[in-house]
Amino acid sequence: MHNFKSVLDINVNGTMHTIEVKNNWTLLNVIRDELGLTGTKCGCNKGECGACTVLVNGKPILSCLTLVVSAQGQEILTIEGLLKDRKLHPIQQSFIERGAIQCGFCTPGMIMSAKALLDSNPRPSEAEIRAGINGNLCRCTGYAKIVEAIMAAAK
Amino acid sequence: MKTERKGQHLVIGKRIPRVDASEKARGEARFVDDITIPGMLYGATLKSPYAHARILSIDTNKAEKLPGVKAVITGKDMIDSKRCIFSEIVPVWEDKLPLEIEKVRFIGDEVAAVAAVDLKTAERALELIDVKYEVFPPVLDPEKSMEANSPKIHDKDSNISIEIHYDFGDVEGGFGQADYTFEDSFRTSHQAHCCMETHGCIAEWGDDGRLTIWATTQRASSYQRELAKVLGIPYSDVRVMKTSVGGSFGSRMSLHTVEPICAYLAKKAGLPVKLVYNRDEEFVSSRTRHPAIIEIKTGVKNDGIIIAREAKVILDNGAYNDLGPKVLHEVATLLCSYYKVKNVRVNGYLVYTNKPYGGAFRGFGNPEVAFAVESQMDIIANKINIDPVELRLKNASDPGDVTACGWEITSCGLKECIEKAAAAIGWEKKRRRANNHGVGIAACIHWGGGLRVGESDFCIAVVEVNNAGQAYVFTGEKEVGGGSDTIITQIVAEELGISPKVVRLMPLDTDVTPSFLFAGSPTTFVAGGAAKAAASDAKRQILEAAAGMKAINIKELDILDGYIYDIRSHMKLLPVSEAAHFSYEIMGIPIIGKGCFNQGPTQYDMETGRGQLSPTYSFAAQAVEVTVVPENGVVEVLEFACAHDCGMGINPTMAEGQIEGGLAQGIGYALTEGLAFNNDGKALNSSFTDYRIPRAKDMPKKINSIIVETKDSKGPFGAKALGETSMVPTAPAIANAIEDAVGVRIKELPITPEKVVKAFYLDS
Amino acid sequence: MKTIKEFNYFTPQTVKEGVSLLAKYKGEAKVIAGGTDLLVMMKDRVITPKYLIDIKSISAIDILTWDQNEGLRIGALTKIFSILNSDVIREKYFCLHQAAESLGTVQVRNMATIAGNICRSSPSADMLPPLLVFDAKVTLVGPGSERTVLLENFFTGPGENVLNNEILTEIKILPQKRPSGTAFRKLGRGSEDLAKVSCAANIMIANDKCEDVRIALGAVAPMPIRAKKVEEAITGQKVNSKVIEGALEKVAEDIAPITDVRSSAEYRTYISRILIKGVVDEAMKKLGAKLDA
Repeated sequence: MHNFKSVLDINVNGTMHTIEVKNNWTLLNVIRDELGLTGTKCGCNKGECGACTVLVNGKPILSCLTLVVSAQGQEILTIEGLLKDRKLHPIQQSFIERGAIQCGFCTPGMIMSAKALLDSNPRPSEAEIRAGINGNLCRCTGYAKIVEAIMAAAK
Repeated sequence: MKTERKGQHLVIGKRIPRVDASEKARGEARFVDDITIPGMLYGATLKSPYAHARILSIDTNKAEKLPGVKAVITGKDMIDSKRCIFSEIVPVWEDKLPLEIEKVRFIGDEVAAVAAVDLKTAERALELIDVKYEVFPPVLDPEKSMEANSPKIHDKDSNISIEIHYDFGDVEGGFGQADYTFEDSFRTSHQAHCCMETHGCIAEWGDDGRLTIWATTQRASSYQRELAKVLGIPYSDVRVMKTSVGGSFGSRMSLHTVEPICAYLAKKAGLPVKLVYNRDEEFVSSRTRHPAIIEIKTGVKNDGIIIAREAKVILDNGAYNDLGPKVLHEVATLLCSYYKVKNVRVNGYLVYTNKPYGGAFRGFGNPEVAFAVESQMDIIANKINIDPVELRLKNASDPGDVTACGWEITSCGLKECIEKAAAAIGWEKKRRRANNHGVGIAACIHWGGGLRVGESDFCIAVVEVNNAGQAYVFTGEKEVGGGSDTIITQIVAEELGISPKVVRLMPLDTDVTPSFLFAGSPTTFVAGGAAKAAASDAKRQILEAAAGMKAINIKELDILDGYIYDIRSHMKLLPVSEAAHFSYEIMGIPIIGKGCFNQGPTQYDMETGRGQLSPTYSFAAQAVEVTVVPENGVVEVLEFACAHDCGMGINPTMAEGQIEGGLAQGIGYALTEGLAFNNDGKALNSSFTDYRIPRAKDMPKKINSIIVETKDSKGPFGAKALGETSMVPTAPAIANAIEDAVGVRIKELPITPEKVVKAFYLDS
Repeated sequence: MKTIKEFNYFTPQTVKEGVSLLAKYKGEAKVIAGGTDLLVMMKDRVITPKYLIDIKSISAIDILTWDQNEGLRIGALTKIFSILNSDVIREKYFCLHQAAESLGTVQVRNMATIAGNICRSSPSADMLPPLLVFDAKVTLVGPGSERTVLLENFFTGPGENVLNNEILTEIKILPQKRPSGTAFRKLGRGSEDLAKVSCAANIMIANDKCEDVRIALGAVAPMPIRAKKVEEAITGQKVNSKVIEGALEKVAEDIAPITDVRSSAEYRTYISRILIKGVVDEAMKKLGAKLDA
């Protein structure tokens, strides 16, 4: 007798959700398809591009390689959770002002990695910024303005 | 209040944030996979596991019976219409069916598709489709493929899809006068676009027999027409809707197999279908850049003047044509247009192989050409003892020049680009430095206002100014990341004299937004040109209303900051909104500006290669400093100085972004990228782990972007194309810098550490 | 790449519980910790377990301790980022710290466990050579049994190891008998290089001579290996350039690199020599010693 489902409590962007999930769903599947939060993107589905980056208990992780069932009781922050009363987070504002966004597909994951970096290291060096976003691929910008935007947001 | 425009720009040349940046920063931009339609099914395609085989039978019975499966299709469910963009111009170039019926020609070639209630069911259904193949040996090497006795990939006598033979000037005479002759052979790689968003499409048929699609497209109007042809319906029955697109770099220029397959699935199922490639599929089944073998023979005089050139190009087409024939034409004419040399001969061959097929990729053949031409320039410079910068300046085009094949150069900042890039990198100081440090430079020419092979660019725009003074722009241009939405907003705002904050682009919808058919990627030049013309027309209508209201001659009026003012007295008269309101509600005339950018029929002759390919040309030079560890061959890119003549930087932040982004792709092209195949034709590095594109730590810390403004007379506000040139000189600049650093010349891309080590130790 | 096949999911609270589940669903169960390797394999359908045993709730194995008797104990749930942030590892097992730092992305460091790396048994995993040069041992717990295996003997082939329905609960590294110099290197400045060759060294000097040396390499054989012939040629000798050059000649006897899309066997052999020379040099510097001419 198989049991392929579980009931889960997860906190996403400050809201508690109790949902029935299939064990084989990834956190990315659930965020996008069940909770309708499509800001987090699927770039490769095997943990190589970083587009699916969300924060779990403040740490950046790859939601495509995280089973949703293992997120029981965790606090998850997605790009949608950065807005406070519809006001942009300083990192989002900085990305916009510095031209750090082109096609926008890598942007949510990139901003989440940037947030995690600045939360743990408020005054990073350029090398530390590049290391902090090394797990997020971007094909459009060459990273130059992304690094500038994060540096500017740090000040 | 005094006010005047006095010829300065208000919005053009300013670093305004992109109009779509905020929604992207919030994660609210909607890409294809973010969209859900009620009742939507999920599609998936079955691909050939063989690089070269005849399809004997396809049995879809079991798949059709699987619960949850709503449609299964093969090529036989489609009308017999091959896919090719230029089918109206050159039908013989058509060679690809969305789902192949007789043969498969590369691993990844699609033969069947299913639509089911969920992805899991669709996957299972694919497993139940039984395809029987008769397998043939794959042909993977283009040189072998050209041979008379090689297995034929298409139903033709030869695997050479097209041949080009151009001959300009007096090549024999030129070589006769040369003091030196250089012969070198170069090879470039199979680069994959690696857009962060994979190909995808949602198709929905209405009860009225019309099809609506949301797809990753770069050219909505062309997709509309191509798709209609493959479906056998009038193009007015195809509606292409706006989505945000996660990059294109050319991969979304021409209809792929995804869109027709998705449309046919939706038709058969009677429900909307979403078909999105996963990353594995994207690597294997998408189009790529064409690998090239370029043999160049160049004759040079003692003083460094290039007097003759002869080139043989073999372009590895892959399994199908797509835009390959056009790329070969580009490559050939480019080879005739680098520098002043008038005596040029090019023999080009587009050769089928059983590998993923090439299409449009940023630069459209120019990165391949530049690697050959610009690497050889340094070989020449070193041999005849002329500084590489000097050599390029001696041969560089000037305004008014006509290239060997008839490109009429108008605005030209090539010399300025070369000088500025060299100065910015610190050429004098750093050249021939010890300690394995080196600098290199490369330059290029590129089409600056669209590209007219076989057809011409054409764009219509409408600018409606409502009775509140807000402007709505209707354009067929599609934003794919390069920032065209913002450029058009700036152009319209500038032309109208109003704030960009009250200019809105109407979301693309081919039912509403007018046609934009273009043959290159000239969004600024062509779409921007049309938008400027439409804005100008709308402005005239606003001023007509104001002239009537104030009893002033229209010639005395202009608009600044949303206010109409008297040019003589500099007095503000009334806001635009008031004049607009008057026009609408008193005169009963809505303000609708119409503009068109139409190049007229192309002057380029495909047969001879002669003729003006583009109304204007862009130029660039990039200089780079590298350090090389000869022991392990690792090349580190320290700094880049990029000087680009794009006429005018409409938005400097975005222009820099285009340069920096293109540079990253160029660095990948130079050092790490290239699909590799085993003897069965299977791609060995079809994932981001093994196909290395630059990450944040791989990029140089300093990128100096220099916009050289030559203010072209034909471009909107003087602007010319920029987006493609940023990766053209990159690879040869790096190859030249490596030679400067450790004395090895690598003529094959990518320049891996292993190649550097081998060359270094072979040399010494 | 496909959707993951359905499975039953368990979160045992103790090792015993976990092991008994593993035994109960013999052959059809897999243990999951970080999931970064396992889930990729499941998406590629390389493995399709019907039962996943998630050990994340077993607090007993979420440890990272050091004392002068037991040495270093790394529990199975220890993530790479904990290795990176550990002061004691940076101080006493430096090449392990270096390997953790070289693992390219923040996200993977936050998710992957070092135990998972070991169980994946990839010949090119960066974390493995440093463990080998410290004679690491792994504790494997099965139903009613517990054994300790030298890491060197744990691997049996690419992706293969001696696990027999057991859970790897801990990695132990005994305190070193005397101070040693250690270093780790891999090719390239970027986080993932083409050849993937990595190398670690652990060297002890006494009376001006090499008392003991361990050198381990990744991506040059079906498993991460100790370069024992190279070690033999250095042990007992004065560590100078001549001795090192002579020892490097033995590399080809120790390794069996392949040619693949990333690099050729020839180049990997060549790079192995370069890396070994580099780590020995760096390790020697840590001891304040020099590779004199």
